[in-house]
Amino acid sequence: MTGSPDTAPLLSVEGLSKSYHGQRSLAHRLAGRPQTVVQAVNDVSFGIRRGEIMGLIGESGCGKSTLGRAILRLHEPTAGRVTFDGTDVTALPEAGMKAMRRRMQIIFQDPYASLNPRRTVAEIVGLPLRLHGLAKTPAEARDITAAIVEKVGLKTAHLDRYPHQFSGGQRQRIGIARALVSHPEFIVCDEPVSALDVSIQAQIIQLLTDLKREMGLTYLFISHDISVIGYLSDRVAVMYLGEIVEHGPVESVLSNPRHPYTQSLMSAVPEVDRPGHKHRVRLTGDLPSPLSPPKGCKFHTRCPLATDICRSKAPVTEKVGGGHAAACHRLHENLSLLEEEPA
Amino acid sequence: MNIQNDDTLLQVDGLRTVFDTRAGTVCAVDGVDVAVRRGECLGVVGESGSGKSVTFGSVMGLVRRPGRIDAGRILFDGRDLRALTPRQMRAIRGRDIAMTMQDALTALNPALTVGEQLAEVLEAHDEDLPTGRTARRRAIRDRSVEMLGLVGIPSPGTRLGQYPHEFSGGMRQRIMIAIALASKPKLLIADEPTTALDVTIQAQVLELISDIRAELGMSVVLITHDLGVVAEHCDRVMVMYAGQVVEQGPTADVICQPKHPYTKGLLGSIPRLSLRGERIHPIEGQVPELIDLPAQCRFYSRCRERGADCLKLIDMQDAGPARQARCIRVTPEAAQ
Amino acid sequence: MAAVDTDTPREAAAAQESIFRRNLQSFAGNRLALGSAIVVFLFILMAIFAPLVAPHDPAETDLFRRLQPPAWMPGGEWSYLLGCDALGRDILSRIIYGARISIFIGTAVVMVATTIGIIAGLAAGYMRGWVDTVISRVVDILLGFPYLIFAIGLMAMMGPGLINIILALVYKEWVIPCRVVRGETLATRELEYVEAARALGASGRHIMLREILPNILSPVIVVSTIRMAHVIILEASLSFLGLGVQPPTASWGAMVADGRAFILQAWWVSTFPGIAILLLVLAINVASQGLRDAFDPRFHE
Repeated sequence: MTGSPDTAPLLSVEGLSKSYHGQRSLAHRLAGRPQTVVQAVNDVSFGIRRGEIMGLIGESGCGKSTLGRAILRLHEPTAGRVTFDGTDVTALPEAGMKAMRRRMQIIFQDPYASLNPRRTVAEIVGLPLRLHGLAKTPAEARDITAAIVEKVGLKTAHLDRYPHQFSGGQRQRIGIARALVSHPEFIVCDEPVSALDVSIQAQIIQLLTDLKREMGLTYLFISHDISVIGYLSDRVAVMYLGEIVEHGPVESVLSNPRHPYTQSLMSAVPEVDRPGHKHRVRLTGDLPSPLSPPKGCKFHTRCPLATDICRSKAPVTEKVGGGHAAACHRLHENLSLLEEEPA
Repeated sequence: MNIQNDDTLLQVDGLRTVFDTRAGTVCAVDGVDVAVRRGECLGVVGESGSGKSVTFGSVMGLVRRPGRIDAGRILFDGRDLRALTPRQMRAIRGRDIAMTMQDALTALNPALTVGEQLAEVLEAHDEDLPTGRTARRRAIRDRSVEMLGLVGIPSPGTRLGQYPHEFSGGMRQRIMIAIALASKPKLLIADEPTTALDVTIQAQVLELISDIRAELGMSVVLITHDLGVVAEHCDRVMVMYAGQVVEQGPTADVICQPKHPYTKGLLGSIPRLSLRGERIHPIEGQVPELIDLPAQCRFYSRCRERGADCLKLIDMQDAGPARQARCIRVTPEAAQ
Repeated sequence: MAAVDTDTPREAAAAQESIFRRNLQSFAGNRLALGSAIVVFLFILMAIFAPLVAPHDPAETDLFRRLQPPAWMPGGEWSYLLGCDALGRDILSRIIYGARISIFIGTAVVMVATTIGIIAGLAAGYMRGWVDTVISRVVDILLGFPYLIFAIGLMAMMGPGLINIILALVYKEWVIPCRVVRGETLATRELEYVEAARALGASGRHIMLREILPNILSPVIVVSTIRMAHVIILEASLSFLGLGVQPPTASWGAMVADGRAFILQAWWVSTFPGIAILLLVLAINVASQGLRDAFDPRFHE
């Protein structure tokens, strides 16, 4: 393991599910039409240790953003439990949840939409101070915001400006400052660099790692960019159609993926280090609609290794050693879709 | 570069495209040379403000007021594109040179079905179509189905009648490619074809372009900010910064041994699994505003290798066989 | 172009340029709108300073001057510039005092209606659920009633009077800003900065009033200024029908009605108040169009 995170998980997610129910009109209800249900997150369980960066990867529609928000109860989970530092977050009443929000924060993907255009930077970053009464006087609030704003690489002169006067990378820094000002312990980073230019991405990633070290933070880092996850995370979980199909230490999962989906993902990532074509695992078929997920293993419709049992029965997550686990019926056959080409 | 021979399909010399705004004249493309050979895939890498999209928009003749081409020569298949009348340019655009945009949803007409949009292109450019009305319509439909099948859209016959918003992002990108390829162009300019797509769809789209390129002997210009994509698919790469080309050469050479500090910075700052535990070195600072640029190296303020001798206009320097870089510290090396 | 952002700093931008200030400057640049706004402002001044501006007492009757023509026609006097009505009252003075009624009622109705509309719209748009259902149904029902007939009915029930007119017009007027606010709230509540406020622990009240409201005020203000013109015409219509303010208070609509019987021999009695209505309403409309353009965020892209 890298670093030295504590052994008891800081955040524990058990059987978390989030589903959305479509509205039925009266006519449909009378006709007995079933309600459309989208199971965005289905029975997800994992733990994050203090000081760790947990990566969450998956493609569009896999539910990773919903999962991140459900953990913070921005979208109320429909089932399951989230425990943070011993407290059951999912059962908290509103007052208790508000206090918890000081300790669990989120950084958003879109630097343009995540800041209120009518507020100055000082007001945006200072909002948590006001909401939680963390500063006794306006002067103190100003000092705290000035300090945090400089910590993320902006200047105090920027405090009285409006978001539209900043570039995307700078706005993202403002969002980070806002998430940090209440000194949280855990931050959900929802694709924080996806909307930025490559060189700015690197700046923000470096900033996030430095801040984590200085302030003792724990991250759930959600991204579709596997290279970034590979660089940053200690452990990683791979999601497909609302479920975690594989998880474990990042080097193990990304260099030696055991689930066919992870293998196909890894084969599709273009790598700068290896110019020239590489063999790609071609999946058959398209992503199934979340409205009618496949029975049995949800991946079976596109899996080159699917057999009868895959079509009828959902696989259980099994360990493969070293904290690495995957959910596949054929896990122990040690198959790999990836063929190594001579470099 | 000035290799002018039959092998060169597209030759751009000294292109300068500006935008007249209220704040001043923005020089989006400043003295850019491009050469694309037949059958080759050129990667164009750059971030926002690099001018990569405007360069090829200028080649296509798509620059409108307040933008204009200020200087430069654009030779396509021996013809000077800037000397053509709008009508002649329209005949070439879409037929010999085709371009796909990044955002397929806004590039496709939302009010027309996919079939109608394919038919538009075929109608305008395909000379092999029969003349009788019914025969022509059937031929167009057959060709459209063929094109959609070629780009991997399942049940193309039924999907011809659907509208762009009924398709997923990846499929819309493929439809755009189908429209671009319908007339079998000699040059395909793909502007950020994969930026908004998932990694597996991205791989599919790029493979599709490669396959078709191999089949038709088409040249491709792949505009992207993703060096990984370039590494995997392009023969040569051109790196742009603040409206200029700062480095170009064979892909493997440029990526393994970058010569320009910007390229070095980019490659050194891409986070990847192999760099775990190490600090990445982001390029500090930001791209300069493209108005009233001083007469010096544009990368000066962010460059780690800068010196007092960089405070003047810098031309492309020879950096080895078929390689150039816009930096005075570059020394040509023998090929490895 | 590319979906990834341009990281070019705009240090040149004024240090404290809020969106509001930028919009104001944009409005000021639109000369037609600015001119119309000045006209409206002049009307307002005229209404406020009526006792100082009007040459005569608007209620003073003088039967010798019955239907006296305007000054430039034979029989007219310069001190009674626009002529006199059937009771010998100075039309110009009555127009000036009439501005008070029109502007006061217009402003009062719009302000009350907008306040109610904002509260109802925010609640409906943000809280959704049964609150939204109830409010939306009420809005739909009220929208189904024809405005003038509804107002007439209310006035007939309540009797004439200034407060009653305002109430009769507010009764239905609030649904207009309510719909706008509800729509904008529905859109804004999905934006990430609202989600961010929730993630920070903000209460529903905070979000509605401090995150959403400042960002939806622009279209609401624009709609309200446009509605002012409508309300002024409605008030004039009510007065025309005799249901508005009662004599001897001067109201433009009533003046037009009074002059109807004499339209052939003394056209000025109806025409000048009519022109006053026209000018004010036109100016308000043009100014609010300019406001809409200046405050539309897409205009500034």
